[in-house]
Parts: sequence; C-alpha cells; structure tokens
Amino acid sequence: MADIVVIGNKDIEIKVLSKKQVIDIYMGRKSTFPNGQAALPIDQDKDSTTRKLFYHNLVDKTINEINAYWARLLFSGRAVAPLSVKNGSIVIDMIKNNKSVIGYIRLEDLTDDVRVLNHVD
Amino acid sequence: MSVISVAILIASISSYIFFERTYKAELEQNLANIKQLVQAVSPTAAIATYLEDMVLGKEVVEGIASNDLVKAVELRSEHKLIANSGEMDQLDDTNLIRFRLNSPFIDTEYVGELIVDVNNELIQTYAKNIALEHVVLITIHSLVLILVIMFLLKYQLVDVIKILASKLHNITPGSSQRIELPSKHVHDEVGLLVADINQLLNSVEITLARERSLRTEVEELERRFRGIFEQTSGGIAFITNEGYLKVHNPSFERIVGSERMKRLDADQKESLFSVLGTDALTLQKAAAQALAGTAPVSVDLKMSNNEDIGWLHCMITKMVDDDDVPILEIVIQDVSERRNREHGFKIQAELDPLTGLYNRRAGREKIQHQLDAAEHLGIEYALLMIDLDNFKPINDQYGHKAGDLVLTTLAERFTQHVRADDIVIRWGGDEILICIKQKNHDLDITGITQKLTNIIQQPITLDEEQTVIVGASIGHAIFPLNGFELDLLIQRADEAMYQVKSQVKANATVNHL
Repeated sequence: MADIVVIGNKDIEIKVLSKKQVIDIYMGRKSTFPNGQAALPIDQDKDSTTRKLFYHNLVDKTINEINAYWARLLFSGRAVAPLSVKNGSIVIDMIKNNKSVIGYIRLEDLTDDVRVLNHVD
Repeated sequence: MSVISVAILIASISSYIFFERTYKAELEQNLANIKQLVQAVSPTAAIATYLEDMVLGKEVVEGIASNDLVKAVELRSEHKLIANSGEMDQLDDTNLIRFRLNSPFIDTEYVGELIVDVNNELIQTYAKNIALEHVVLITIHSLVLILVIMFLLKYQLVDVIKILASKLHNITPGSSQRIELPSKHVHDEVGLLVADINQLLNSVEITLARERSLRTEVEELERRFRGIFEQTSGGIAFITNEGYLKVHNPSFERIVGSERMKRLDADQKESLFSVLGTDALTLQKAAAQALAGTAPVSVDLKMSNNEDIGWLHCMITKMVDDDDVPILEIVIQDVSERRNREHGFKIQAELDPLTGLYNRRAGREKIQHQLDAAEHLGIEYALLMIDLDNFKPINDQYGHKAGDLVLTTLAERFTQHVRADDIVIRWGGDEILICIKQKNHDLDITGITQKLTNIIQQPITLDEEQTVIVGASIGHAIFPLNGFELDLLIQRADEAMYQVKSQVKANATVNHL
C-alpha cells in the first residue's frame, strides 16, 4: 500500500500538520493554517486512486461520501470543496508557486521541492 | 341486573387502566418520535456544527421545529449558537432534550449539541385525546357486545329456561307427564337437561307407584291383623311388668267383664293382678316367670264373678316393644265350660246319676285310697252294706219314678247324716255301701247301724197323697279288725247283710191316707 503524504510549500512557517488539522482544512472547517495564514487545499482528479486512498486513510470515507458531503453544502455555508487537479506533478507545481496551497501525493512521487506536512496512512 | 352492574364495574376499571396505559404509551411514543426525528437529522446537524455553518444549521433546526411537538430548537457548537428556532425556556430544564453532536470525521470529538424543547402540554393533550378515543371506542364495542350477548342469551337461553321451568312447574311428580324436548336443542346442554329431568321424573313415577302399592299392601295387612286382633275369640292384652293394661281387644273386655274393665281403665288404674281377685298371686307369679325366661307360661285362673265361678286359661309371653322395653302379652280364654265339662265328666265317671252318690267303681277306689292311708294312721273304718227291703214291690206298685224317689230321698238322708270323710256309695240297684271313718277306736257299730235303720224307716213321701216306708238289712265289716283287704271286707259285710236279711223280715206297709 502506497503511502500518501500531505505536502506544502517549502517556505511556509508551518512545519507539520496533525491529522485533525488536515481534516479541518480539507473538509472546509478551517481556511487557514494554525498560524492564521491562508490555507488552500487541492484534490487530485476525482477518479484517481490517490484521491480515493487519501480520503480513505484520512477519514475512512469513500469518494461518494465525500461528494455527498460537499453536495449538502452546495447551497449553504461558506465551505467550498477543494479544487481538483489532474495529477501529482501538477500538485507539486502549484505548491511550488503558491505558499497557501497544500495537497497530497503518493510518497514515491515526492520531490525535494515540497515539504511533507503529514503522513496519511 | 347484577350482571349489568358487574359488567359496568369491570368496564369502568378496565377503562381507567386502559386509559392510563394508552396515555403513557402515547407520551413515550411521541418522545420517541421526536428523538427519531433528531436522529435522522443529526448527521447534518453534526456537519453544520462542525463547520459552524449557520445556513445548514438553520435548515436543520427548522426542519425539527416544524414538528408541532417541538417548541424550540437550538444548535450550538462548543462556543457558538449556530442556529435556533422558537423561544426556548432556559429556566425550565425538564422539558429539554439534549443531543450530543460529534465530528462527522472523528466520532469521538465533541463538536456541539442539539437542544430540543418539547411541547409537553401538547403531547399530553394528544395522548389524552388518543387514550380517550380508544377508551370510548372500546366501551362502545363492549356495550354493543354486551347487548348482543344479552339479547342472544335471552333469546337462546333465558327464554328457553323460563319455558322449561314453567313446564316443569306444571308437572305433578309421579304422573306420566314428561317435558317435550325442543327439536333445536336436541344436541346441546338444554337437551341434556331436559333428558335428565325426564329421567328423574321416570324414577319418581316408578318410586311413587311402588310406594303406593307398598302402602296399599301394608294397609291391607294392617287391616287384616287388626281384624284378627279385634275379632279373635281369645282375649289379647298387652300389660306392663306390674300388670297395668296397655292395649287390649274386645274379646279381652268381654272375658274379663265390664266391672273389672272399669277398674283397669280408670284414672287410677288397677293392676290386672289385683283386679282378677282370687288367683292374683298365681297370675303374678306366672308373669314373673315369663319375664325371667323366654318361653310362654300357661296358667289356669279361677275367676269369681259374683255367683259364678269361671276359669280362665292364660298364656303369658314376654315381648319387647319398639323401645326395647319388656312387655307382657297375655292371651286369655274362658275355659269355664270346658272345666265344668271336665268336672261333669268327672262327675259322670264317678257318681251315680240318679242319687248323686258315688258309683260302685269310684266309690270303691275312694275307699281303697282311705284304707291305704289308714294302715299307717291307726284309723278304723266300718263298711256297712245296706240292702233295701221290699224295694221291688214299691217299684212294681208305684212305678219306677217312685222307686227313684225312694232312692234319692234315702241318698239325701244318708249324705246329710254322715260326716265329711265318710263315703256313701250306691253299690247296686237297691244296695248302698257306706264307709265310716272312725278315730280313736270310738267305733260304735251297733249305734251306727241302729241310726241308719231309723233313717231308712222314716216315711218317704212319694207325692201329696202317698208315703211309703222301706226297711233295710245292714251288714258290716270293720277294718282292720275284720281284715285288711277291701274285697274281703266287702264280702264279709255282704255276708253279714244276708245273714240279717234271712233272719229278720222287714215288712213294707202301705198306708193309704
């Protein structure tokens, strides 16, 4: 089973995120890092196995359940679903260029360009 | 009527119980409904609380509040009121239901709570209404049932029984009347009852008929026995130990006589023993003997009725009456006639019919008895044989009647002149034997002979006009002087008499007056 890592920009203050913090950010509860800086989560492609694995490891929910969660919030509230990108390399790219962005990739796709904030297993 | 009051009582009690239970159940149901409602929306509520999303929260809260039974709802996160609806009465905590909300993603993490203020008054009202409605329905249902049952019962059972009862009431026990079995009841309990009643009537009829015939029999028997008791010639009476009369039959009265009966029946009753007079003691003894033993005791009693002497043959038997008290049954028969007849026989056997003197046989026996006794007592007896002279001529001349008269007259004279122990016997046609007892060796045979001659020679009146005089020859023999054997003595006396006869001739003179 491949591990998933949550990554962020190398230059941000935050060195690590707890599981709870990751959940809060990805599920729309928090839009900032613990230090108050903006946090923008991005998803992988909706059909990707990485995404599936991520949510499974994170909250033990299926993609459908996550979708239903967001569907409920469609007409209310400020919470919005994370942006989705095609693949892991795009995730890295976005993170390299934006300090607010966090994302998740497979461990084998990890490069030096990004910081690992959390191991999701 | 009591059935109805019991039914009403039961209905009331069960209505009350039913109401209470329904009410409570409704309350619980309503509360459960609210809880279920909240359960249904709690995931969404959790999300709303987790995100502190007021819009979603409002949606949730209003969904809950739309229920009539909810007065107010509050959705709170740890620090914030997310959404609410209605006026919540914070002071009264009893109506509030709190639901803890956990993070949709970390189910141990508390994110907030949902507070529901339940409209208890409304719930209670609803519950009461439903309970009441149910109770009313049940009551109506029961009433209808009762009415239907009563109607059916009355029609099917009560009326049938009334008819049965009146039919039975009109039946006389012992008659051949029976109850007709209604066709539609042949196979049910009513049919059974009728069959049993008829069977009972059967046995009653049989029993009564038997009793009747038995009674008739008994009455017949009683009549016969009474007839026997009343009409039998023997006198039957029941007396106590002391001889007091208890029951008697008419023959008893007749035999005992009315005088005595009065005394027996009087207020101060006399005992039978004393009333019969002479032989009371005999009777008493016989009674005692009967009481002591088991066999009947017979006794003859002499009863004197003023001038007559009667004889009663009594048989006394010990009996036991209904109460086990010993009682005496006495059966009496008037045997005077028989007794007298026997006496008569005796007389006939012993006496000469004409003169009343002993006849030869009996007289001889009597003398023999005396002689047998005399041998030991030192007593002398003189046997005097008297032969009448000229007896035959009188018979021839004046007829047998005259002759008889002579004999009877002389017999009378002899009897009057001898003593009690002397025996006068008609020895033959015109022969008389007299046995004279003499004590103390005082025998004056000559004197006796002379005396007898004088007696004989007294004139005898035949009728108004005629008298005769007879003579006699007298010979004697003396015991024990002249012998011990009676026959020998008689022979000697006879010889002596013939001697006198041939020596002295007595002439019968007939005097015409």
